[in-house]
Amino acid sequence: MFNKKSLYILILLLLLSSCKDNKKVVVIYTSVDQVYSSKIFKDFENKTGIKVLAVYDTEASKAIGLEKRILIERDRPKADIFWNSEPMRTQNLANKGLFKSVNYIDLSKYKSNNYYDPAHRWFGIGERSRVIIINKNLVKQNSKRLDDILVPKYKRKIAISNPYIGTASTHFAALYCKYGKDKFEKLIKKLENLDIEFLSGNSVVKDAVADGKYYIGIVDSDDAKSAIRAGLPVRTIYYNQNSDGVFKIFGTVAILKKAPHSKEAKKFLLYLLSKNTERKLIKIGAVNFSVFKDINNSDNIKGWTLNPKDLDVCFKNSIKLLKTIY
Amino acid sequence: MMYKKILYLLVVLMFMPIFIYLYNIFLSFAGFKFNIELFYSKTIINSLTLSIFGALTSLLLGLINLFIFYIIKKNYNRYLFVALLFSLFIIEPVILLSALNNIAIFKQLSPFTQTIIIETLHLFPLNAIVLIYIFNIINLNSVILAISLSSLFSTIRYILLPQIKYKLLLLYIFTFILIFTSQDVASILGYRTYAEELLTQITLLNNLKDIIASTIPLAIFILLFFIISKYIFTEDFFYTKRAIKSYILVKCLYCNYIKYTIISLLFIYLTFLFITFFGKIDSSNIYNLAMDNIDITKQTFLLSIFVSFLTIIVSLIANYLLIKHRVLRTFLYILIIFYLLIPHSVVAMILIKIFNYINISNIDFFIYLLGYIFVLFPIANILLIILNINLFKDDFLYFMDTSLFNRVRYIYLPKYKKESIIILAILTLFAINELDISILLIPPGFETTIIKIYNLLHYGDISTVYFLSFIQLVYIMLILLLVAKIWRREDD
Repeated sequence: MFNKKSLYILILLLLLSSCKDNKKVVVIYTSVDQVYSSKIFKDFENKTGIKVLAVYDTEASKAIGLEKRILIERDRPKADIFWNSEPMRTQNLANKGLFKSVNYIDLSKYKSNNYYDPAHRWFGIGERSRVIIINKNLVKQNSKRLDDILVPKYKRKIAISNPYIGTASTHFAALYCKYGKDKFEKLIKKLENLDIEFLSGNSVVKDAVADGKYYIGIVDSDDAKSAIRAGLPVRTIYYNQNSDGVFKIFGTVAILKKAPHSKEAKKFLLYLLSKNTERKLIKIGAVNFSVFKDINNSDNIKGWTLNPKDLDVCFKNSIKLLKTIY
Repeated sequence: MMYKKILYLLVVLMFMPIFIYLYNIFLSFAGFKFNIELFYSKTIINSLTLSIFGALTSLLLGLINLFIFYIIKKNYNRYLFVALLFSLFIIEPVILLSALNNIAIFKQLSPFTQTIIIETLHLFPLNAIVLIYIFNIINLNSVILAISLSSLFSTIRYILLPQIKYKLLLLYIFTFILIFTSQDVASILGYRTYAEELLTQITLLNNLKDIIASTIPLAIFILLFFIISKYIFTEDFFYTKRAIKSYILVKCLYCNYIKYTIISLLFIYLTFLFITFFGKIDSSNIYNLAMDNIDITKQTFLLSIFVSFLTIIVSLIANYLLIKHRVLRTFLYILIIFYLLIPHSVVAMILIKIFNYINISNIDFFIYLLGYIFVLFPIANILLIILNINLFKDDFLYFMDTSLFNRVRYIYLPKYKKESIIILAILTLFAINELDISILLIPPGFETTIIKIYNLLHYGDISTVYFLSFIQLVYIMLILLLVAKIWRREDD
């Protein structure tokens, strides 16, 4: 007969069975989307036998996600690795002395010195770009310049994600660096006049444009590609191809100081920064371009990027102006 | 008397800018940064409007469903009806939004209306379930007598409302706070709320002290709530007599038509959601989906029940310890509201910070459980009040020579069994759907269904998202079986 005690024991056993005891592990905090990063982790586990214990950043928690968690845990870090989808916040954490300097990464393979920290605290991996995404059922015009979409006929029909978080904040910071204060201020004024809508994340912008709620959005190229793969009615525009091209954002990876599993962390760092892994990242759609010299990009897209050190300074200045519209 | 209360509130509201100004000076002295603009942000108006209307529509729909509950004659059908309500409550607002986006008319609505609809559809079942219990406290004799002597309106106005008005108000405030502090759906739809604004400001501040300081405007609401609660938590409120079920509404002439219409609508709504979920699951891959997610499903279910059970124990102990301390009790309620109003992610940050000073290895899971208790504790306490589980009124037991264990074992548990189970069920649902705190405290390598749903929602793996949403519905069915079994056993 059904017995209460046996139920309690069963619950306890099931709870205990949920706890796992793995000796060789590496703890990774990542803001790279789970749908992509989990594939890389699985591959790493298969190759090395080291179990990856991941903590992902979600669209919902990006406001104060892993960056703040790492900062708070700085005296006793739980993470070994921080794999970030952009460089600005990694640089910020590096400035605060949170990452370990390592000397076993070959820096000569990088396309430029923008892609790694001169003090060897973080390294770039995989690049995406900021692109215009349009609902092809609603917009027939094939605009090639960013200025072409910032016109009155698209008033209240353009969406961008929250300019203080994620890659949108990096993009605005980069524009501030590139344009300077006055031109950036003009851009902000333009955005204000067009009543641009700020949504909670790039993926939300992508979905809203695909739904036809907004005609045009600015997102990351991986969001745009995932929408096209899903058969959504959108078209990607790599803007400004006749001048400097699109703004490109690369991923970054770093080992934390006092990382609890430093040996395993080193193995993961070497694995992730290999050309093979980057090819895999490009293949699964996590990134679209390589940061390494020898890997040719299938899309010949012109683009520019900046040193994260400059971005960090520009971010603080861009916020002051962005506050007038958001 | 009522006018005086309103006047009192208005005076407090008038003094609020001065209060904020003084607070700001105080914070500057203490070395905090506080963005005063935050309080004057239009997002406060947005959030207030959203919460006022959302809570109102949830309560109204809840009342309609309460009405349906009472006109269902057979007990077992009532169980099924409550089961239906629970099923609707389990569906995460973001999933609901994703399903409703398949309806063309819905997509034409403004972000404000869409948010109201989503929040209402999510919260009305909870309102209905809680209302069903609130109505248990009505003194049946007085209502039957009144209804035989006067009109239904007079009975409601003079007999029914005086008995339940405080609890209705509390339920309204509870729903209001739930909407006020949630930001997911609104921000996805482009309707900017105060919760989102606060989180954005927090992002720009790197200092924990500043993060805490930025939540100061919420203190205003706590102050307001304190004033309101002064009138709510009266002796009368705590000592309301528990009575048998009320059948006040059975006299209604068109009850059957209304009943079948509403139940049909609820079934259509649930069927629509089921079809949407199933339509998006890759049926050829269903075995792999099940195998891939079996661990996460087991983990989430057990964890949710476990933390809910722990929270009830903690809440009961807190209430028990405060039996004799009125001031401390009031303090507890202020604390409860404070918890509810501060974004959960901030609470998570504070928890990590505190436990980072304690040098114990493998403390992650403990912090994680604690985070859940932090989130569920206020909800448990509010439910304890609303469902009338109240150890204060059993003061006489102090004079009996019995141990606390025996009192719990032989008196409190049998007496409050049904209510405890309903609280456990509601808390488990909250725990299953908790995202804000769990995403920040989750131990590395651990995952729950809701976290996975959020992580995969926007990136093409829709099949897994809807499969997991379906699994969420299975959870609730399991919980309901337990609830239904106990109700049925009691009725037999």
